[in-house]
Amino acid sequence: MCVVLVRSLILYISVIFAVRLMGKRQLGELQPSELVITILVSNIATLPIEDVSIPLAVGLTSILSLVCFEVMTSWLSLRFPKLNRLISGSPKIIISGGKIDTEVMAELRFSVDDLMTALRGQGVFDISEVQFAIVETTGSISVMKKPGCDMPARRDMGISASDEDPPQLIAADGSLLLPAIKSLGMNAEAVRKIISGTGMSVGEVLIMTADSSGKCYIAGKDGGAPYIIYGGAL
Amino acid sequence: MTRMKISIVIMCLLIGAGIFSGISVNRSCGRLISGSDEVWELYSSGDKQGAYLRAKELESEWDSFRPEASVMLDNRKLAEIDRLCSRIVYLVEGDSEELHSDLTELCHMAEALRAGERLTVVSVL
Repeated sequence: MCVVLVRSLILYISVIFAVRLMGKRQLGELQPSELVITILVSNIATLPIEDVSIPLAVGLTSILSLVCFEVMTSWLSLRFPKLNRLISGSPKIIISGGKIDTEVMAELRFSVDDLMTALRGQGVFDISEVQFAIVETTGSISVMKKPGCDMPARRDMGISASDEDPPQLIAADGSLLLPAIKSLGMNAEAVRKIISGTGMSVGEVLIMTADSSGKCYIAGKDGGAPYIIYGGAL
Repeated sequence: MTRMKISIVIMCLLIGAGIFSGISVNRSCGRLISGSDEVWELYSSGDKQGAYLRAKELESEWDSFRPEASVMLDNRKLAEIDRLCSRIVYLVEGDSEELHSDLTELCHMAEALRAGERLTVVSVL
């Protein structure tokens, strides 16, 4: 039993390492080759756990070699677009100018139900609102609504807005996050001063965010009402 | 680029390990096959004591390779060779008629193990 336990632990660490080696792309939508690797790795990892007569080295060799092939293939795909098209295919336009391309639907083996399901997944319940829809290589569908049916932007309404980055997390779970504080052009002392202005200590802070305008959000571990501070003042 | 470099290093290590494994298995199985032939030659020429000693030597050579082999190869394949190696010593000692068939079986199993580790179209498919 202990042998199985240790083998499981080693394979668990190996699979995590493998997924990390493949990169963040794996955690989002999967390309066909990435889906294949994910399925293969998960199946291969179970074999040495279930059957102790299979050497661990055999399972690890399979997992690591597949992952390395995937990393190399994706690097080569970046350098050679034709290879990328060969492996991942290319996006297909399924609706253009509001008109459905039935040939592309047949090519993709997309039924009407599939199309409507995909559109509803994008928050489109009325197909007449769709100007343009493209089926990506991952199988997902990207939709552009007709301008008259889309949400107006500030620009459409003539409302000006400054380009600002979103707030960043600068303290979490009682600790200051120094790289984030530095990236906002602040220093740790100033942050401590802001926190102490609320009557809390750094150790009592659950979440603190700040943006480039100096607006800070502080929530304490005690679950009380959060503080919102503008320009460093309560 | 870092991931690419790490992948290349891992692939090189795996290829190196594979080559080492192939060479090691090839050498040990070769010794097993030639050792089996020697045991039979000695036994059939009447040198039963020599055959017994050679069989014991063969068994201990296999036992020393066994831990390394269990890391690289399926233990089910190795269990059969374990059984045959230990049996041959007693077959020689007991002057058994089954000695020749067991030696032949040992040679075939070692050859199959060796062929499995050789990179050929047949072994891959």
